[in-house]
Amino acid sequence: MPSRRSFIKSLCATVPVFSLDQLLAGTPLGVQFVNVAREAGLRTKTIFGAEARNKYLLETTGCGVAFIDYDDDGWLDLFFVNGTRFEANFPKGSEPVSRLYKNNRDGTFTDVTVKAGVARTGWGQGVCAGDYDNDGHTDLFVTYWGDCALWHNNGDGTFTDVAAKAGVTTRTTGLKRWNTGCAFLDYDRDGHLDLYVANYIDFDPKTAPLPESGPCLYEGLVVACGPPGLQGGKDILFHNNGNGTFTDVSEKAGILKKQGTYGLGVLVGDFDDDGWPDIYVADDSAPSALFKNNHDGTFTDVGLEWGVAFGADGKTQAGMGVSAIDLYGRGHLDIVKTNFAGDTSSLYRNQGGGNFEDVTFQAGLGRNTRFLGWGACFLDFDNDGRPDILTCNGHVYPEVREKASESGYRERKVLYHNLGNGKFEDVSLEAGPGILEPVAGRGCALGDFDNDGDLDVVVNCVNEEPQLLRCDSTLKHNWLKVKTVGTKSNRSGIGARIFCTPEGEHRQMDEVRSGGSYISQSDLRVHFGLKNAAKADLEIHWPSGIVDKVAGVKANQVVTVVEGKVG
Amino acid sequence: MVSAAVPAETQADWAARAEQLLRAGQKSEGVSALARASAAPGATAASEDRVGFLYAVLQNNTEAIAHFRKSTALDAKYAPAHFHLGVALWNDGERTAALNALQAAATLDSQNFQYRYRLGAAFLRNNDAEQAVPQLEKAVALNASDAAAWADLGQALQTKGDLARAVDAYAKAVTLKPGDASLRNNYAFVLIETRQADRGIEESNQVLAKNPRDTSALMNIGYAHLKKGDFDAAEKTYRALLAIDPKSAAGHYDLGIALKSKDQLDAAKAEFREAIRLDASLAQAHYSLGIADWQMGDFAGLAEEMRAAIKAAPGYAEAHYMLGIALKQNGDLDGALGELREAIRLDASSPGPYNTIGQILRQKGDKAGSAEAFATGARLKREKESVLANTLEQGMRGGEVMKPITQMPNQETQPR
Repeated sequence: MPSRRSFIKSLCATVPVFSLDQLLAGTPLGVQFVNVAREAGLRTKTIFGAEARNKYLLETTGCGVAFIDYDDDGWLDLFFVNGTRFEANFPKGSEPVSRLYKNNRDGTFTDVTVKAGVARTGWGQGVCAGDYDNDGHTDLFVTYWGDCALWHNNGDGTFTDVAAKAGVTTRTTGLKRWNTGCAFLDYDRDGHLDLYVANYIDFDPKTAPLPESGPCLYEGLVVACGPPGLQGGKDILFHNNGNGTFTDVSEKAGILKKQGTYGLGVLVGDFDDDGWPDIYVADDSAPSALFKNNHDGTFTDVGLEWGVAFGADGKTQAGMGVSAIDLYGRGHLDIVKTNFAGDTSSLYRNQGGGNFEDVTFQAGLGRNTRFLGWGACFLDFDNDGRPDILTCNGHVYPEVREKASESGYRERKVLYHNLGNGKFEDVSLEAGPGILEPVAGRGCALGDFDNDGDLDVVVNCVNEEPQLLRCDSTLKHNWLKVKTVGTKSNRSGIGARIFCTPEGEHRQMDEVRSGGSYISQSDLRVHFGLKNAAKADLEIHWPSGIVDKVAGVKANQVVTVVEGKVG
Repeated sequence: MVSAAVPAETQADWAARAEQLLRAGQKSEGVSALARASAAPGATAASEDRVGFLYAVLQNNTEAIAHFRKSTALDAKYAPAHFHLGVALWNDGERTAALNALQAAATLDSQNFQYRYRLGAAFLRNNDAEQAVPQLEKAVALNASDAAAWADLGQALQTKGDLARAVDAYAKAVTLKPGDASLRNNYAFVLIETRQADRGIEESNQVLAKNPRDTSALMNIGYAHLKKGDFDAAEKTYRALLAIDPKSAAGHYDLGIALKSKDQLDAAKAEFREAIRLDASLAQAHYSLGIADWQMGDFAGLAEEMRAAIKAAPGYAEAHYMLGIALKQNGDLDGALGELREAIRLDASSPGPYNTIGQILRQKGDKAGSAEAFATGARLKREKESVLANTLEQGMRGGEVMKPITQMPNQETQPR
């Protein structure tokens, strides 16, 4: 019996009035995203700046969120970064704090923030996860405007902030830095996770311009100033010394030679397939950077040369969130990046050998320009083996609430379905109320919180409750998740490249990744949609150089692969 | 009836006689007297000027100019003759000579409002706003109650890019002549351009209150809504305009922009096509249609429309730039380089073409050329940032300097 695809192809050959695109685009989704945050007990509003009018850009950029299994029980927990306000007098003990929720394994969560010891207030920004001390427990790094937190997971349900002891507060110059996106990576492949921290603006409220001082205007509205015209921040690379401490190696590693500034989203991946992790940074209103790993502890920003610094027309964009996956099954990591309203999201196709092609318009992402994108995720929401794209949106300026402009302050998400022919179809309107509900979205992350095999989405919003978008699928497609445990490599297996070949389907590839999207952390387990395949072959290329192969892995399970212990 | 037989001796006498006859409607007798005046003795600068003036009234510019020249030859400091000569030369299309004559008049009689105003107006209409502004400023200082002078000053300042002061000038003109719809529409336009969209809408609504079918006012309101990002309201306004004037190419074009801003690309393209059908020379409509094609992944359409835009407006830098993008995408790297270099020749201030050239040269294996192009792009960007930072330090009086980057070209991309 011919497959659906071959049937469609033969139909096209005889009935030319229909194009393959039209037929593929007409396929029912079979998937609905439903916001179950309130039922799940996620009712704490994220506080971030004033609600109606902002004085500073710091009040606009919002926070990240993490899907992590902090207690290693196989059920994803949630960590929401929280912010604060400049002119608010929160009663003692009622200050907004970042929150940790434990998964109750029944679709609900329990707030364990205080018990876990992570109740910290401040201008929280991004979050990334990794077992930096290789003790078997996933740790968290949380960025702030100000001192960052390195939450060491004590393995007993509690965390301790060891940032000062570890030397990663980022206040190395005595000044508060505006840290944003972050990612753990083992750039020197020594088995210890290093840390990259993007910086946005050198911000000091004592000297920062006020909206009225210009005035700084956006479509006639007086809004917070920047980032153009303000002094950009400098990203930081911390080397893990292997003894619980880190050393700032930014200068030595060449990070300070970045072409652009105003760093936000950080994405780590081996973009030139040489076995060494590279770093892509989405810069706002500046060329985005791609730091090629030179294998000697240094990096070179090749964003311009490799074609991922600008938009398709060579113009600077306002990059926000980033994600990577092997979109076309060719063994190279492709990149998606969200940008400002009036622009499109960017899709860069990795041609291999240090060449990317901007395929935004060919792929169909050029049709949406009215959304202001933050969170960016490749996700195979229908488990058909072809990664789709989700962007989480919301305008920067709350002042736009005053008018019926563009898509408003609160915006819906955009979900692009991969048609398998290099093109994507915007299926947002069919993808359920969770996609369509407008929010001031910022960070978003992926994880299967209910362990039903499809990818759910969590969104941290500005000055409103979060969203937990449960994916409800009727497709019955198969899936596989891979949990990596490094032995010679870092314990989290971050940087491991996993090839998954479902029986009878094309080979897929992704990497175990810390950070990504918009300053957020998705599940460290790597998810593959298998469509109808009952089993798949796995090949794990560890940062240490070890390659593990597992043949005939049955579908619909989380498989744990311990480095060098296969077979 | 005036008798032509009354003796006249001097040129001044004959000129007076001719004027008297012409005023009485006795044209042929007046023309005869004027001919006598031309040859009469006792010519002075004033009498030659008078004769010239009468010939000008009779629309005989050649004779008029000849007498004005004789007048200035007799007395180089006789300002009225220079002024009249300037006006006559202007009407004859001799703009440079006219400006010299008007300049001489204004210099000789610096307190004369008319001389100053006409000189400023002439500069303005000669596309020289730089020179027009100081003359018109002096003119309104001499006579602050002339609406036309304020309006011309507003237009000159607007052309020069000094929109804030243009607003003030137009405001004065509107106060002096509140019933002038054209004036109000100009005023509304500069209000919108200076980020006072709501005030622009108010002004336009005042025009519409008197004439609901004033399409210029509707055009301004639509533009104000576009500036505010209120694309629904813009669409509604342009549809109202097109109901009144369905053949307005600009109306269809602007409606297309509103629809494109709402990501309704097919509908936008239909409007751009209609605008082009009505006015094939509308380069921006070709440009925007090409951008919509691009957004939909149609690079051939992008190239075709950019070529059409360039044909309609050969100096259209952004169209050359986008044609370069289309050719690059289609694998014609040399063609792309040519278009991008032409874009740079027309406008060397934009980093974008350099960055794209850098990418193309890298594709072609020219690493040094690629690096040089990227470096130039980076330098231009730094220069722009430096301007922003300086503006910020100076209190950002320039206005919308801090607007974040939005990428998709829109209606503000104009041919140069």
